[in-house]
Amino acid sequence: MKRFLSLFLFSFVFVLGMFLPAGSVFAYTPVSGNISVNTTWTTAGSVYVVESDVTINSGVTLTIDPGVVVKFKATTTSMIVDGTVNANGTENSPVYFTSYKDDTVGGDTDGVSAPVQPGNWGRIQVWTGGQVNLHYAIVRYGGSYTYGNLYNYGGTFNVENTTIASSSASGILHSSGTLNVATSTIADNGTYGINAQSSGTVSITGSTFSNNATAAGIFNLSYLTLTNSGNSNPDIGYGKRGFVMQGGTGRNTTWSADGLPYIISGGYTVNYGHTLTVSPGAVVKFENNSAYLQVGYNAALTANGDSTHQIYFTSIKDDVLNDTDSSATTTPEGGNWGRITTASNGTVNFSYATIRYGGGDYYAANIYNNGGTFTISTSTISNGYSYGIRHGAGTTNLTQSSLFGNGTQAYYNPSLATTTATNNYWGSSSGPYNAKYNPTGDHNNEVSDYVSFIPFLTYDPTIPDIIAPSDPEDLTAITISPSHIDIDWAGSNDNRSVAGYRVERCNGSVCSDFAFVATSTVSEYSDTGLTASTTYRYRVLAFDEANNWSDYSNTANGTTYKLHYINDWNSVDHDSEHGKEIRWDGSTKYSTAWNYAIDTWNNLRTSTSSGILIANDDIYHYEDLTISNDNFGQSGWAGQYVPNIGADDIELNEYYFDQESFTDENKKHVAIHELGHALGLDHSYDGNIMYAYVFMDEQTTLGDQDTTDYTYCWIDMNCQEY
Amino acid sequence: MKIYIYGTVILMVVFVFTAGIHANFIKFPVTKNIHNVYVADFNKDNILVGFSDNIFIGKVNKEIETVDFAKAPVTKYSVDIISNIKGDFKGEVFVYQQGGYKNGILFVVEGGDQIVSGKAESYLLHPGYTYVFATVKNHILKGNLLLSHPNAIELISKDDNASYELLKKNSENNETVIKFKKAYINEEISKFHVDNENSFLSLPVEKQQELRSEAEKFK
Repeated sequence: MKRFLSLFLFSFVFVLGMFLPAGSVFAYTPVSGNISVNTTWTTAGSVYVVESDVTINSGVTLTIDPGVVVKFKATTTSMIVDGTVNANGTENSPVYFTSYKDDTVGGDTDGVSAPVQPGNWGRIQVWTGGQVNLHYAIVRYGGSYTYGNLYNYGGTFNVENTTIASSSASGILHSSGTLNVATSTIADNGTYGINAQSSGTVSITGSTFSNNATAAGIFNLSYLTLTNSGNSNPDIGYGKRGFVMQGGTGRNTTWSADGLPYIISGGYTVNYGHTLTVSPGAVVKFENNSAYLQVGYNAALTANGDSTHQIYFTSIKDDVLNDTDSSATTTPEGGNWGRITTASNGTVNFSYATIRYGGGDYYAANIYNNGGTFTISTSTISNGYSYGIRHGAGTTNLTQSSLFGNGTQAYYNPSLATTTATNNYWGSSSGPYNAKYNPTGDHNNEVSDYVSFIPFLTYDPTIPDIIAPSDPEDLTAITISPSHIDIDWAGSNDNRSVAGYRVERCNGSVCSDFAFVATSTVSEYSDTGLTASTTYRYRVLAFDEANNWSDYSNTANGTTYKLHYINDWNSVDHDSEHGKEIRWDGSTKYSTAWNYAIDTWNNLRTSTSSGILIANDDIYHYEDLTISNDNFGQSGWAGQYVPNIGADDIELNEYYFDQESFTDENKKHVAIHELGHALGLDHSYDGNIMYAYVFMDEQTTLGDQDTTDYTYCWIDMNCQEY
Repeated sequence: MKIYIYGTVILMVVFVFTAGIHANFIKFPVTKNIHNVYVADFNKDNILVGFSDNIFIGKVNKEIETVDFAKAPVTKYSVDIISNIKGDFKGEVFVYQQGGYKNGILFVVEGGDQIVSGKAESYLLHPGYTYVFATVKNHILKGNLLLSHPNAIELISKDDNASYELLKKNSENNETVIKFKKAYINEEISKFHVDNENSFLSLPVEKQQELRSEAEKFK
């Protein structure tokens, strides 16, 4: 009998064993109820099965060791955190929070092969004052009753290197408190990866989203602060690959550049007194033709990109940044979304921004100014359903931008107030068509009346310019005075326009230590404040608006004039002067010119005792100077001063004086000039009587240098007197 | 008696001294500047060339005489033509240069100091030296007057023994010769140069084309 019983028991156990699944592990640690003392869940106790809600009391810490598996038994079971949970997984031994039905980790805990599904369990919920720190954790198959795998209700979630997946609703539902998600994966959730539409603070950085059924995230920034950067959503699977922005902004807000676009699904308003700043590189997409961005009264939208970080406002069908609508076959077109608009007193600033494929609502324009101030520069406005810009009221300033591909008109101004839109590119080098002002312009890019669009650009300023201007050539230096040299050069050419020239200078004719002098916007420069009788060496180079620089021009030397042009009194016998008088003898048939010359110099005397008197001789005075004229034939000179022994001589050449084209002014000039030599003045420069070339103009009055030198000699008495 | 001897000696010394000064046998270390006011801007090559009736390379044979002209001396030289840039001189021509010795004092035209210091060894032309000259026909002097502007002359060679062929060949590379050739095809004739000769436009068309082609090579 005993042997029979033994055989029966053996057979029973054997048969039972045959019916059990291979590898089945029955052992687990059931948990439920309140944890009121600090507790550690270890791999020795793993798997932990939450059979009904487990609550970590306030002030209590639950520590979960690497590799521990926590399974939740039913849709109604959750982990409620009033205290602290530290899930300390590692890269190779993560901590799991999953369904009781999940047989892929911790074995077949429930002993049946029913498939695991999203929503099989509740959530990890943190209340105000609670904190959950997930480090290398995997949380999946929760989210029953739409709360998400994680639900923040006033506490703090710190989620790092963690996977939040396969929730039946959102991966994370944030209602309030603080949520920090870093370098984590949010995937395969039933609605949004992250759903945060109430309040608190949310930070999402460096994380990967994929296959979240509705969208990667949804946020309402009316009372919520969001910071995000470095996130991505690879172009695989489904769901909108971006962050849906709901409602509007209730505070000053920044949408930073991220690997994900911001999606506007309906009307989005920047509310009164607040500013929405869109950072360089950020992309904003609109989901449908009822989606628009409105800047409210006294609110502002600032979207200033830079040359390498454009900002986009476009259709969700536009695959810039990523295929946001997860539909590789869709093609964007004008009217895909509504508009960007302002209420009165709203302010919008765009630079390095692209606004395209809008105009899908009543206003039919990408941009509609309804009474605010739009300031747009270096931006692209294209493919509006009917209009790129529609100006209803307010102020619209548009410059250095590119407009093309808009359905009816690039710029439509139905108001009677003219707006400024100069220096823009209108899709063609011929400018936009306007029947009145540019009838030869491009018909595909038309501008309505009341838009001041001339001058327009012949190139697209939004395309980075990498071509430097040509080198300036033919640099020459022209001396103007003892302290002034003018330089000019053949201007550079540029594919767009030359912004200016940098002028450099050094002292000396062969110097090389050039230094910056000034910037000139034209191909000439007046260099003043220089030292007299000094040689300067110049060179210039050109630059354009994009800061492309040419090479240097040739160099050019200029020497400033002397301070004074006085004859060398040691080598010139100055018999023409005696005792501050010049007594002259002789005669000339050009007496009008001669008398004019005498008066011209005598008029510089400030009193009878100052300066030098020029008068004809008499019986009491020997002549110092003789005037005469004769025909000396072709010689190249019209007058000559000869410092002879005894009286000096002035000779006027009749050959030129008697020519019909030799004017009375020419004669006076020659006479004043030669009498100036008798006064000891030397040849000086253009603009002065003592300039050596009479033909230059018909100057009959003294120049500044003439007066300066006379004063230097005869008023200040600096010249040696015989 | 002695007094007569001394007196005679003194008178002879005074006579010799006066004669020496007058004949410029005695030369004082004094230079005087003549100042001209020009009727064209001879700083510009195309104007200088347009104002000149002849431009040529010539070797100075000898100084012939100094005469008074407009209360100042001019010095006359015999010059052998090496080659022409403007005009068609051949053989020997006479060139007058404003300046020279008068009563033992050297008169130079202002700007002549540039020639003394840089362009030549002396202001006055040097026999045996070869220059490029820019001259005008002067009916008073009945000869070719070197324009008194410093740009109107350039020393080409000091080699008195070089053949004319060699001087001609060497002059072709001279910077001033080249710039005068280039300026000739674009010369600008002053309205005051009413008796101009040898203007570029007066040349036969074939000659103009030849000179243009030659100037083109210098660019």
